[in-house]
Amino acid sequence: MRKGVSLLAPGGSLEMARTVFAAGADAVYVGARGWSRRTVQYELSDEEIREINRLAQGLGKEVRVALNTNFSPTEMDLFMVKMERFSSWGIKGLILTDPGAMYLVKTHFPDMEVHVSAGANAINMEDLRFYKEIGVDMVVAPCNLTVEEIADIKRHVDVGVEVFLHSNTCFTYLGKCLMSSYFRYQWHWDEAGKNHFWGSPNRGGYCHRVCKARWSLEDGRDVHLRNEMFLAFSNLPYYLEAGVDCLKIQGREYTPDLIGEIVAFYRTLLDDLLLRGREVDMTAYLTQLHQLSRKRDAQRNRRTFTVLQEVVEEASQRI
Amino acid sequence: MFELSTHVPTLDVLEKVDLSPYHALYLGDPTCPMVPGNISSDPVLVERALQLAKEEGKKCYLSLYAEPRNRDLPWLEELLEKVAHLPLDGIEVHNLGLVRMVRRLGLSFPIHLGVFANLYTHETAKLLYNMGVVRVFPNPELSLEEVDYIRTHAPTQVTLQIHGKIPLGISEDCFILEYSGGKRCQEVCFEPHWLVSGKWKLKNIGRATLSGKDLCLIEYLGSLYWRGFRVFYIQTLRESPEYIETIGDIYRRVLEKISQGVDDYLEAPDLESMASLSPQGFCNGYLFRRSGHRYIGRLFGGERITPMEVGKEGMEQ
Repeated sequence: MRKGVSLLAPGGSLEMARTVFAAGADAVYVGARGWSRRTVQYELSDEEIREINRLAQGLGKEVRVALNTNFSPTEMDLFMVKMERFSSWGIKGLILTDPGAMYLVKTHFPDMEVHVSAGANAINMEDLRFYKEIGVDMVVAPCNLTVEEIADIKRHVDVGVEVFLHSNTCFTYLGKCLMSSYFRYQWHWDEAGKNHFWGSPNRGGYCHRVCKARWSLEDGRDVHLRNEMFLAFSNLPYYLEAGVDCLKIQGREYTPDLIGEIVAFYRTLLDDLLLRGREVDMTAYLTQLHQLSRKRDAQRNRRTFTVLQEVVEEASQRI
Repeated sequence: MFELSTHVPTLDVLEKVDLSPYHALYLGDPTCPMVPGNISSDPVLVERALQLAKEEGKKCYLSLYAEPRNRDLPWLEELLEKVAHLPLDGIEVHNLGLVRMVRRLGLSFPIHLGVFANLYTHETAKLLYNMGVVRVFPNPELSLEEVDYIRTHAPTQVTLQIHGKIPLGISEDCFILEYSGGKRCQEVCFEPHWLVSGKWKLKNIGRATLSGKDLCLIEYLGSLYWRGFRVFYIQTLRESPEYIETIGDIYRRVLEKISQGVDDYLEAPDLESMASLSPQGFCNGYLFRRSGHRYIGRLFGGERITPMEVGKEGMEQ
């Protein structure tokens, strides 16, 4: 199994970033306010990002800054100003979705590492080769990809691969859904001039999760638009054998305590697997994982109810 | 002068529907390679479709599967090799890996970037232009100003959808098949499902989910044309022959009038025909910075926000 794999955890706040480092994360990802695939309360100001970067450097750990929304073409200058600032602060890692933006970053700031967001939906080997050729360092594989597909990619493409350990799947391919903004979409600029595109998970990170509403067919049959928790627990040994470079835990919107528990759980499991390989009794970990998953689901369901209620009230008046 | 195009998924549509209003045809259904008779899944069908369409004087672009996984790459490469000698006018790809594949195979076809490729910026359009992409279809979530920004800041042509249901998502699995009770693709593929949640409606055609309402820009077409847009697209996947013919005919006539300088181009019978073909109603999509389902305009009982107001407002009221 590969020893150099890193454990990446969410930093939805300063407190969460400190918590996940203490729990054993090798790296933390944070969202630049207005630019990442989460709402503003789970994103950080530039100064907070700078502070986390200092903290990480002191600990010998890494920070990745997500600017992975599909921002406006008119915001490209604003984006480059931010890159200039982050580069001058010694921030190395970026998570991006727009290929044009990736190319600009690698052209102007070649020392910065570019990670392709899962929202870019790189789903085959040719996709990864495309990104490799424009200079990216790592690609985040969407949850849809099987262990075999990821192993194939690692065998044939010389680029870093990051996979999700604990995440959610969408009804559509990630980054390819406009259902939320079809029903509610608002342009809203902050004081820095960045549009937050409320209602669009791709552009502003605010998803109303309309797929979680009660849907039926015209004949009255209830239908289920899949949006479920994704756990790669059982895949983990195979990911390690395939040579993945980074394991990602999603969840900037959860409480720091819960994320800290999840990170500590995966740290222990990962270290165990790296030491003992297939001899690890995975079932011994399963009970603990189920408990964590239940807590996570409860928090997610509360959030789903809130964001769904907003769009139901709004759209019901207009349709 | 201008181009009006649509997708033609199968030979059946090509043979039975009057496609005379359309200058150009995207051959194949990019949403699923398993669509029975999908032109872009079989080089023999491509050759036959091309022959038929060229006899009618159409431009023909081959529309490749939008979401190829590793397992799809070998058959797509084989398909491309087999059509390499055909007189296609271009290849539509929705996946950046396939842009690379077309180049790697040394094919000289111009590449069109399809709607599922998620193009949001002029910088991406510029990057892809250097890889052979000559036309891009920006993501539907972009506003008119943003689409125009791309059009004026990148060397690529820009496609604008002017009518039809908006592609709202594409999935890994077929929703129709999932709820078919064990039937096969051949039995159920052409029976789209309407998804209902209270007053909300969406149309599912298998792997793709579309808006319930039809995007309609007919009342803005003059200003769009004179702003500089010339590449227009009507989305007709899984629509009836009457829909494909009537909507195409109306827009073709209207665009002809506009290009000749006629300002008063709307005719009441046309609007009635359009309304009768769209029982779920109309929307403008995201072009006016609003939720995709809304219709801003003076036609079809639309919301009366003038384009000037639209430009000033930042948020929904």
